[in-house]
Amino acid sequence: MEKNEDLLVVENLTKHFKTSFGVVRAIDDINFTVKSGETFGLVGESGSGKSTTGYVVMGIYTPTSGRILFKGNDLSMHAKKRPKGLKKNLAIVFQDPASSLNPTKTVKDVIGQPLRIQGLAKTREERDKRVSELLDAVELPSQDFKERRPKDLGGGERQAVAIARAIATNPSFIVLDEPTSALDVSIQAKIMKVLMKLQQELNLSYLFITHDLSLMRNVSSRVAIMYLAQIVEFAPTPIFFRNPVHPYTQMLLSSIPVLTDDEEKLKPKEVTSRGEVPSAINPPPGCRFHTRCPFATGICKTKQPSFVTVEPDHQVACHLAAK
Amino acid sequence: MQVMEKIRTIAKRYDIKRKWFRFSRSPLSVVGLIVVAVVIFLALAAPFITPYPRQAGLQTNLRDRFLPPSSKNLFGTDQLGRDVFTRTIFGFQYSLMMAGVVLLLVVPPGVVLGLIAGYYRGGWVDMAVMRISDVFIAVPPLVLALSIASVLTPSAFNAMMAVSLMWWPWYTRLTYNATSSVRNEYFVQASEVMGENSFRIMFSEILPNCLGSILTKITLDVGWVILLGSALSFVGLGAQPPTPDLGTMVAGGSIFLPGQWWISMFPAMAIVVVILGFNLLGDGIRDIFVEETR
Amino acid sequence: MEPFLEVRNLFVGFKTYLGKLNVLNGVDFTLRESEKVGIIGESGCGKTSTMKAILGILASNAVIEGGEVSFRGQDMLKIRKKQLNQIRRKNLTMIFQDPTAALNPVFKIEELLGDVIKYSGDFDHEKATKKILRGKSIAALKEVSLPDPERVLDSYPFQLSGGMRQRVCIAMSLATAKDLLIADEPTTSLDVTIQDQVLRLMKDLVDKRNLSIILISHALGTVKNTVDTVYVMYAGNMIESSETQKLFSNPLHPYTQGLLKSVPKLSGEGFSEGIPGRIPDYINPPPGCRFNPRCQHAMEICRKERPSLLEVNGENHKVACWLYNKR
Repeated sequence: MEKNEDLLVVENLTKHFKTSFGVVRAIDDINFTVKSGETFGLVGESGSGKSTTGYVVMGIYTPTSGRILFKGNDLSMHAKKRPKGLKKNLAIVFQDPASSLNPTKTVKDVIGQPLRIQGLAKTREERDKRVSELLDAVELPSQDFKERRPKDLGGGERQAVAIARAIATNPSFIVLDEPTSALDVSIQAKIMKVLMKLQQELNLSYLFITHDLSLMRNVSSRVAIMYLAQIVEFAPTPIFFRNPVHPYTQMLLSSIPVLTDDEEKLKPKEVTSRGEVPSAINPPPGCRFHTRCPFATGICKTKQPSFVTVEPDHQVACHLAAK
Repeated sequence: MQVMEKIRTIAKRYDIKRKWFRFSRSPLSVVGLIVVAVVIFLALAAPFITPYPRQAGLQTNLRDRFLPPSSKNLFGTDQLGRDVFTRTIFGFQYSLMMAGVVLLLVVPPGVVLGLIAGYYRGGWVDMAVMRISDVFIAVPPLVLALSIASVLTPSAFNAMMAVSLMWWPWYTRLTYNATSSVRNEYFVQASEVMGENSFRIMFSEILPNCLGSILTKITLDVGWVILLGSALSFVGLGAQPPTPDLGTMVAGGSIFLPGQWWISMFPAMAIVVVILGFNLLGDGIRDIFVEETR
Repeated sequence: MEPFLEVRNLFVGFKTYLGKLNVLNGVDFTLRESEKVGIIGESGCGKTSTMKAILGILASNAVIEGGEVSFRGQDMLKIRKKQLNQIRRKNLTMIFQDPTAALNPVFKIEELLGDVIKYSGDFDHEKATKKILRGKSIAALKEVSLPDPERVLDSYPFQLSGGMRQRVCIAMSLATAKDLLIADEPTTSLDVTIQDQVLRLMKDLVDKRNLSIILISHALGTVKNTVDTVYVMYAGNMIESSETQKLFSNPLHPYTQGLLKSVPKLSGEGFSEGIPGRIPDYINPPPGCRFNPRCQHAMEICRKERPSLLEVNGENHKVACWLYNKR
């Protein structure tokens, strides 16, 4: 695949969950594209729907409506129904290193699982060799680690094993769901370096999901921000951070803790965060952010805003931006 | 030397050292382990270590009836002159055998049903299996066992069948609960997304994570099954005389209380010892599998 | 001012199946009255264990091998249980990381908060009628800016959001007069915008009541705007301490420098290499300075003797490092 061609296209994707409390609207009509070789960032707080988006793309949930196209193939169904050949092109790394690896299995078993399922490396020697290669790729000492169990590993090491498992089948696309949120900052740096290196070497595309904006600034080429099941703004990364237009984006950016004065100057003028995130079962009418928005006007309470192009490649769903 | 190496590798693979540490932190668990080991040894060695092995069967000794405990008969003799000590030791044999047979019959199907119902939670399999289990679990165990046993001809074999028939749902429910919670862990999602087949997911990914509670329950259940079996024998629905079943012995000797107390008391104490031993052992096994918190 | 809380040379180990974990390796820490202190360190460095030692709630396999923890002159490690409980009731309070786990799900907030107030020893709890307690509870909830306190009192914890639960926990800890608040990662499980609100709230309350606070976090940014002094902890030792601004603008210890470099910057400069190596094995920790295997400046003496936390250039900036300690 050429660099910069559309690898993953998500069209009008919606996912609702029926629960005993009502219908939870986790994703409502979102659209985005991930190109080959790029990192597309999805940012938002809890309840925004960002993780659910990753899961639906991977097929852990079936979409309620909308389409997911991968290299032109329709993937809008549960993973169990997807053709095996296509499955090996996508992989996921989960947020919690503790539960993403089976505690009763050894590292060798964990990394060997996708190899076995996809029929790559049929003999025990081949599998062994491939597992060693993969451990080397994520900078873990292969001899030492093969027989260990997850409970003997630190968080960073477990995530490295999860990454090795993800790249085992030579995928072209990986969903990274908050891969470093549970890790200490010095280990996060190591893991991010490994991920960047792998992206270069293997020409991978990443759907990078996180709530940490400072992290996002350094990892993605384009960013979309989600609020209560919808994308409210997206732009190439430098533009997103230099000129955030949506009030929610400004609110989020102005509340991140930074360490240096230089960084403080880069933050937008303070928009004090107010209130709590409303329920996803009964989202507010009109613009969903209006209940917390300091600039809300009459139309915000009744009409859903559509996307407005503010600059080339920079789109915002806000009535105020339309002016 | 080869053997030592083999043992060391197995110990490492199954993390024996850590498990032993957790187990032995409670001295009572170790006591339980010792008691169980002794009981098993006695049960296995019964024919060789008891003074009057034939009196565990058909042999009687009417000349020496009702003798109190002495150096010749450690626990005295019963109404047919048989050595109570010998018969008690053989009673261990029968009890353990009954527990073994019942659990062997009950655990595999119970666990498999619970695994499948839990994995396909919300589907018709779940509905069917769990509602049937609910029916069995709703009835008090002793009542259910008695009802089934009373319909069949009283015998040791039928007692085992009766207990097996009503015991399986507890394993189904236990495994169902464990499976339901493990099912939503990320590593199971990962396996499904990769395209692992459901059979392998259930047995190779989920089941090993449920083993802790299953093993604990098996150990504790030995005590319960023995108790239930003894209850059935006590009312005459289990092992028939002259089989040296502890419950039958307690029943048979009860009419001679309090005068010839040794005929009932020693078998009764033996029941208590066995059950206590397995319970303490079961607690220890549960300690091994308790999740470590960070 | 006399030290309000002083931890001197504290050694604590933990017994496990593999051997003894020698975690706390001579911790030195001082807190004055009304001082706001932050402790930063990565997981496994011993910061929570230090707090548990202060409060007397270490796990059963913990072994206190030496040192002192003195609060207003009393050695907390040696006093009787009754006195310890007195201190806990009247002077100390703690907020934990996970507000969901800290609130008993089967009780309404009214009962949870009411119990804390009733048994705080502030007044004769025989006279505490439901009405009085409710009044005090509502006042406490108002202090933490919870809208509609009446409704909150009548709710169960699961009916409240994460941010609201943490506020309830803060209300519970500050409902009655205290001297010292220990907050262990209080905002880690909350969203960024809510984190901001809760930290501001804590800072306001602490300022208003002149409390001392120890704020523990592995997130450097959390600590920066909330406290005046910061301690950095690594593998069971305090390795650096100074005024907050100074620490972030001029970190001295190689570990602190590596740590600050690892934080991704909003200016988009990419990722650093992190700090090579991993935290030491507590069963067989490296002799001397525990950071020496990972330190690019390690010298002979670093491998032999542990440096003490000493002031550098008389600026109230302390480091435990042979690069600075004159020898």
